[in-house]
Amino acid sequence: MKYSRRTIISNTVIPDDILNKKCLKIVILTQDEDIVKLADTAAKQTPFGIERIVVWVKDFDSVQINDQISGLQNNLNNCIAFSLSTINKVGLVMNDAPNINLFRVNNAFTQAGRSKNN
Amino acid sequence: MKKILLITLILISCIQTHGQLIDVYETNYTSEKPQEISYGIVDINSNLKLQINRDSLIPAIGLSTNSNPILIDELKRYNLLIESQKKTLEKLNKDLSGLSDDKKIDLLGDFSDLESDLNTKILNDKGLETKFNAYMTEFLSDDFPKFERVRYNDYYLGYALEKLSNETSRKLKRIEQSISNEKIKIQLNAFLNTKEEKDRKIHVENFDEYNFGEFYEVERWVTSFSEEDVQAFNTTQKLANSLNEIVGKSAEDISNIIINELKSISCYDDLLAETVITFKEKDDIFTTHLDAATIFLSDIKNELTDIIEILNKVNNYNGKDENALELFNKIQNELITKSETFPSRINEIIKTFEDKVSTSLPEIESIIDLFDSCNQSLKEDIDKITTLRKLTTDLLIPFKKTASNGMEMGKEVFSYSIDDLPKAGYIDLKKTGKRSNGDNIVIRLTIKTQKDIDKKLTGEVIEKKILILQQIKLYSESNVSIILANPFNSTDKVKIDNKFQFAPSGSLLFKFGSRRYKTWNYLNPGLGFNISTPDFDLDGVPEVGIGGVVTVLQDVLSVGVSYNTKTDNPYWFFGVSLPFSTLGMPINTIKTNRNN
Repeated sequence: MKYSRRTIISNTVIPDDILNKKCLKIVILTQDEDIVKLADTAAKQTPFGIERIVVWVKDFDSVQINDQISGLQNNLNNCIAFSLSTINKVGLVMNDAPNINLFRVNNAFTQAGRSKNN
Repeated sequence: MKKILLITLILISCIQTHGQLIDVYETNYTSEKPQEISYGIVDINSNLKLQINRDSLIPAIGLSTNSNPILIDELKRYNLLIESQKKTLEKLNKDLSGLSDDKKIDLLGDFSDLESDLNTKILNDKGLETKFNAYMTEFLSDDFPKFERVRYNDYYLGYALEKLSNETSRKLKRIEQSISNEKIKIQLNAFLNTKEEKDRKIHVENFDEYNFGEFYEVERWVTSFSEEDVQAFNTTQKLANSLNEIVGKSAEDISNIIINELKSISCYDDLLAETVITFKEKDDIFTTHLDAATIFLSDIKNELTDIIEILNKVNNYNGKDENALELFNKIQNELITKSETFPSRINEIIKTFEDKVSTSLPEIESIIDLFDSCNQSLKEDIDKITTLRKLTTDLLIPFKKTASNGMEMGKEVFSYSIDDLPKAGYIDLKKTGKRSNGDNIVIRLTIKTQKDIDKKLTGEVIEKKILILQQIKLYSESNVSIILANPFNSTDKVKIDNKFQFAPSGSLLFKFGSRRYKTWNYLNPGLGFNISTPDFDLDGVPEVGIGGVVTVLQDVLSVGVSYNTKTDNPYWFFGVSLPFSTLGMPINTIKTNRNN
């Protein structure tokens, strides 16, 4: 599947240069490419000029991700994706794959963008 | 950007199924721009524009008449969604030029907080989630023109709202069609409730053909006492004298004053006694026409017994068990009603007798002559009682009449179908007659189904709005009431026995009316100049006292300090104007803003 340049594919962790960017991020942990595509589409929108980036961590390591991001659940095996604010606070954790649609992915960005997270 | 806002505003008004059906705007002579009324308080001299929110009206009628319940339910769900959208889109439409990244992130935070609430509502409704997901998918698809995306600030929400708005409009059209098919009629009418009169119909331009009321402008600045004030002051002087007399004597004494003045009681007593004697001796007196005389005497006796019974109620009341003045009022009503028909009934009895008996019978003639004399006394007594009532009861018991026909909807109120309903109605408050601060206007929007029309039913009121009339900002008014005055020091000139003396009082008060705070208007504090006329030296000539006064609760409570210019001593006073009559209390406040 083809993705835009807004989507970065990574192996085990979130690249540091992405974490250092002041933008909204959604980190995809599932292998379901449809969800990655949904996130890539939702990232097209940049309200208030704040960039949105999708990071697909294909072969993630829970421990390392937890080391990178505080406030996440320890076991990320059931986690589909989570969103991060401009300062890498967790916005929304998505655990329910069958119900994920474009609206919900966009909502993950919205949650990351809330004032309490930035 | 403006277009998105416009769409939103239309959408908001469309979907507000429980929203305002009538928006009230006020125009006055100092500002040309109509001002929307948000707190239910309007300027007492303003012109009102009652704008019917047609797009809210349609679902409201549908809801009320159960037209298309499924569509109505959908509109209600959209309404839940739309409440916060105006704010949301206003934030999205902010101009970002020149803003730092941090400032943009702040704006994003505010916007996301609002959008988050919106999303929660959408996520709680599967149907709405599906709809918004579809709108977003369409907006972000490669086929969607890029320039269109820019028009919506590169975010799907404006586009989704426009789509939802179009869908709502279509649904509203369908409901409107149903309402039109059901031949539902819509009426709007308004009533003015003042302190003196309830449910006075007032003219709403475009919606009825009632005549305008008397032109009356409530003056902002009252700087002197009007002729009406002076009259009220004189009346209050009499009331104060009566009250001082009541305080001095017992209520029983007052009742005796009334009784001793009623001359007709003894006259009718004498007449009854003579009738009874004549009746007893009828067999000896009437050698001819015995039957006719017996019937005559018997009928006369019955009528006399009735009237004497009522007169005796006055005679027997002691003024202790009940409020004397209220009891007196009750009895005098009964007496006045009875006395109106009493002479004609007696004349009927006399005529019946005279038809039967052509010759003159001296004993009967004597009774008839006595009647004429007693009837004259009764008439004089009734005049006395009526005068007394005016002096006491009318002043003591707040008088409020209901306008003829009350809130009944007359033929003068037009009935409209949804298709030809005017956009707005207008009320010129200056042409609604006399009114004062705190009075209110009730506006009712009523719908009638064909069934209501066929059965001549009143229909259903789907919106009732109450607007309180108030002078806004600083204004002055005059007020006449009774006070209880207490001299600070007792000089030789002060001869009153009681601690307090009733006195009439007139005040010129400065007040401030709020367009926003009903509680403030209810408290209605006033500060001003006071003139009162106590009679501390008890020479029967009132002295003049001048001072300051503070009032609250629409002048129900007043406290002040004055100086008696004749007895040369200061005094303080208070007034309590209660909305019910209690013997011995200073009652009733007479507001007398100047007439034009």
